[in-house]
Amino acid sequence: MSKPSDLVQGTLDLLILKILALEPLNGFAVGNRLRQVSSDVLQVSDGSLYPALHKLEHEGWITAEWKQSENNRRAKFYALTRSGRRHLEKESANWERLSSAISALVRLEEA
Amino acid sequence: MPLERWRHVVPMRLRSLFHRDRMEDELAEEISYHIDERARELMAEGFSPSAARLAALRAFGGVEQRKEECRDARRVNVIEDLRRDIAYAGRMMRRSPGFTVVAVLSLALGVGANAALFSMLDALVFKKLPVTNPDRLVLVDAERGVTAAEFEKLRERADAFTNMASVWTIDRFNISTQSSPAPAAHGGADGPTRIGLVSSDYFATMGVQIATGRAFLPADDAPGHHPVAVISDAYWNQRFARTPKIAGRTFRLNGLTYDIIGVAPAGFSGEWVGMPTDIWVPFRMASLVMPEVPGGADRFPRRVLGRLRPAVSIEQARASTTVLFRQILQDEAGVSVTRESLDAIARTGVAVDPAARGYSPQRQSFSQPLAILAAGVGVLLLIACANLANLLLARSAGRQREIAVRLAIGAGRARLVRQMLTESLVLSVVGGLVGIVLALWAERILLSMVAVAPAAMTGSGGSATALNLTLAIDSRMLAFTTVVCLLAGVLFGLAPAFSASRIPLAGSLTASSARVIGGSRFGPSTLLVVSQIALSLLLLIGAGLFTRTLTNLKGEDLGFDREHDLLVWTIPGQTGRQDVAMAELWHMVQARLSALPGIVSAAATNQAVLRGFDLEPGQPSVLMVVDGEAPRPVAASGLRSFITPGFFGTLGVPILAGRDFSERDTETAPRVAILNESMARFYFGDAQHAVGRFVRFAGPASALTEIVGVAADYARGTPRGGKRTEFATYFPYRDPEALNKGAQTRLRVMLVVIRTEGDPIAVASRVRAELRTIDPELPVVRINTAEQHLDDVLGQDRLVAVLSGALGGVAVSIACLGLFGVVSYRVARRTSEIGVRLALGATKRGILGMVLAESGRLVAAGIVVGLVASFFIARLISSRLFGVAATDPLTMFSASLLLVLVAGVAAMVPARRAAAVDPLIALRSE
Repeated sequence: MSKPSDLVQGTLDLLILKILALEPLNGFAVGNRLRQVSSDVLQVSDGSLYPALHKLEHEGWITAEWKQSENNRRAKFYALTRSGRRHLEKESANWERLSSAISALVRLEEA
Repeated sequence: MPLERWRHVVPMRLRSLFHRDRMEDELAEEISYHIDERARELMAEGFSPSAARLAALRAFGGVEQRKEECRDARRVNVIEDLRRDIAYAGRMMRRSPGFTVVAVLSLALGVGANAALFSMLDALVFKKLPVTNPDRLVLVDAERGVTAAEFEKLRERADAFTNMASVWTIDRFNISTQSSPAPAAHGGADGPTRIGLVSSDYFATMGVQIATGRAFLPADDAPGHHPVAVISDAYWNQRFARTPKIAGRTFRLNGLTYDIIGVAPAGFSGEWVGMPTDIWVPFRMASLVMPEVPGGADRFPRRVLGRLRPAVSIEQARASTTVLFRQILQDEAGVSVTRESLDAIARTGVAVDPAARGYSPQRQSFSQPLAILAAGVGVLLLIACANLANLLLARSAGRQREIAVRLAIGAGRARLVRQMLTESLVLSVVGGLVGIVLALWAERILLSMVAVAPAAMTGSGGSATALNLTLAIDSRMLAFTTVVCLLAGVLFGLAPAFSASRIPLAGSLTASSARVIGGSRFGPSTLLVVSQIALSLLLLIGAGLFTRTLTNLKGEDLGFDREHDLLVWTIPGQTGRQDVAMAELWHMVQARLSALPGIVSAAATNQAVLRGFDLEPGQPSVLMVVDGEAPRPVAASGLRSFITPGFFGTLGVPILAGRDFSERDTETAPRVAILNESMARFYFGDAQHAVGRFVRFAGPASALTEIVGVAADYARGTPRGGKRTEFATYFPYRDPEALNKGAQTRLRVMLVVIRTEGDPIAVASRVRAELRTIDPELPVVRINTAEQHLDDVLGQDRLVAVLSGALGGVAVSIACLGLFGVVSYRVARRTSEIGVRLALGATKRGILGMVLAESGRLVAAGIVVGLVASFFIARLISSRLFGVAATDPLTMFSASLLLVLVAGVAAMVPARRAAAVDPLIALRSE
């Protein structure tokens, strides 16, 4: 796996929450969406998604429900809870601050 | 964490714990869905089905690993481990049932005894009254009591309280209800019914809402109103079978019918903890409820309760009430008050004390026996813990190889300690559950032992020496038991757990077990056995001392005949008789009972034979002045008795000089008296010189009185006090003072003493029937033999003796089980060594002796430690002992001997097993 994904590991939770904030999805779809949105920059192995999803579920940020998927199979769909949404807002704000600080720092070095 | 999140988290955790299989299925399904989808995608790109599946699996990366990571996300690993440990502990327990039974039983005994005593102490001492805001409740008391009139003024003027109420409690034996038309309690078969005479504000003050019906209204306390009553939930249950139409039902007392207007809520039994009230009636009924107290309850100090106004502290209430009470006293004294009494009023203190836990003189009177028992059950629990620690220690040594294997394949030592601790906790929980069952059983025995107070003569209401409690398993008892169990589990589990985890790996796996164990002579297990023996010796010595105390007390010469006497305790005052009519009742009772077959003689007195408590001599005072001599003050206690002729003969007390009273000694004859020997000796030198002398007694009966006789001393208080100098004076029952109307009628209480030919109790029913024909309204409190009465008086001593005996017995059994376990275990470990010894020529006798000597050393060490400890704690119990020193050598010797004998039997079994070792088999097993 390429190096940038280390960064992703730390923020995988944030990404999953963000994706689920748009619409409830099953694990497989979350993985696909992740790759799509990041145009394959963020490489998350299929399997590592699930421990993250389960962790979020047990933390109470997301909730799961077994529903019919588009190909008529039972699949576990995850959706954001209300506190999950608040958590996402807080984490996104943190991320904004962190990333702007870092990019400012990076630009400073280049100048 | 916000509530909203909990709503998601809690069900998740619960599901993880209790629907583990479902969670697993769902996890598998979720992952297989993912892989199927990925494979389908790949197939759409042109892969073959099998290649697509393989690629999908590879992309997923280690299905089982991922699953484990998902399980970790559940955050319940600790609990999962615990569940596995508990299951494992259960398997271990099933595998060695003998060990389990011994462990659980000894622990159950220890925990059960503690739980039983705790719930008793809790109910008596710690629990708050079941009322609203018990913390605002206070008891108000002036040094010399509060009269009815003073209470009324206090209630009107005290602004520290929202409500004030007064209470007077009294036992009645002649209540009849429709369901039991004959006075069911006539003769005390059902025990007393306790009446609380209360002011109308009582329930409001207490903070109690009447559950059914209504509470008292001020109108109920007004004269002329129909008599009404509120009954307790327990009484409703017991006498009215919880009939829903209770309001309007009636009961009769002293010839008066009372309407029941309400039922107090379940659990509330008045302010007196340990003396539940059955019926409450308005205070104005006092003179009708207790007619034997002329002048009603006005003369009596009463308990006064107050409910503090919000924001008023107890100190503020105390200060303001003191000032107010002094004012009231000054107003009462009026203008013609002397300097001294003004000073006395200015010094009058008023106590305002918290009453959240109710009123209970029982706390004081039972504190010593309960403290002794608490210490006893504590020691018992320690013994049980030491025993278990020892058994576990032995067992964990036996499991060294298993533990070494587990360590070798990667178990963490902390994890091992946790697992071993779990095992002991499982044991302690099972022991605790059995213990609770034992506790319920023990409680019932305990309560029945303290429930009865010795019969008493006074209508003063309630007794501090009986304890009536209702106990049930409640959350407090369960909490206590849980804490005790957990503490015990950790206590006895910790040492074995750590010693097991310290096992050296290499040695344990390779060496033979026998050599690994070795004989650590002064190891923890030796220490534990020695301390068990020492502690149980302490309990045994205690049991011995208390048993001998009881025997001594029962064997004490009381100075009267207690083998042939029947005692009939009655309250004729409740029939409303006065003056001569009362004296005639006494005469009729004496005459009619004397004539019954099987009865030698009958006589009556107004003082108890054995009161149940000893009077302490107070300040020196003038009790009696010999005519023509100067007054001689003396510090002696003494009561005046009014007796019928024949009293001394019936009781078996010799008259040392002069004569007994006769029917000619009436209110119109010259006044006469009989003294007891101690009193005669103090005033006249000896009995003979007293007879024929004239004296004047202190107090209202100051007429010139002739001493006509001197009777021998006898024990009047308790056997403990014995015939201790008490200055007793006897007057004929027709003495003017006895008949004096206006004062308390001296004859209002009557104890009939009956001397029988054979077994006294055999005539009891005949006596009861005869009394009923004389007057069916005459309340009979109790009929018992003098011997039974003595047993009642010695109730607390018997309680301590019996329970300490039981504790001692249990302690010794546990300690010997421990000894048995340890010795057996050591013998088993040394089988091969013993085999070698036998092979080298040791005799079976020698082996037997060797094992017995080893256990003998343990027992001897324990006994020495126990004896030394007993000297230190001796003085703690010495005040409870009678006729035996706390360091009595005989008791110590017999306790030690008993312990040696029982321990010898416990050690004999494994010793014989050792001697029976077959050297060939023993050596081959290596």
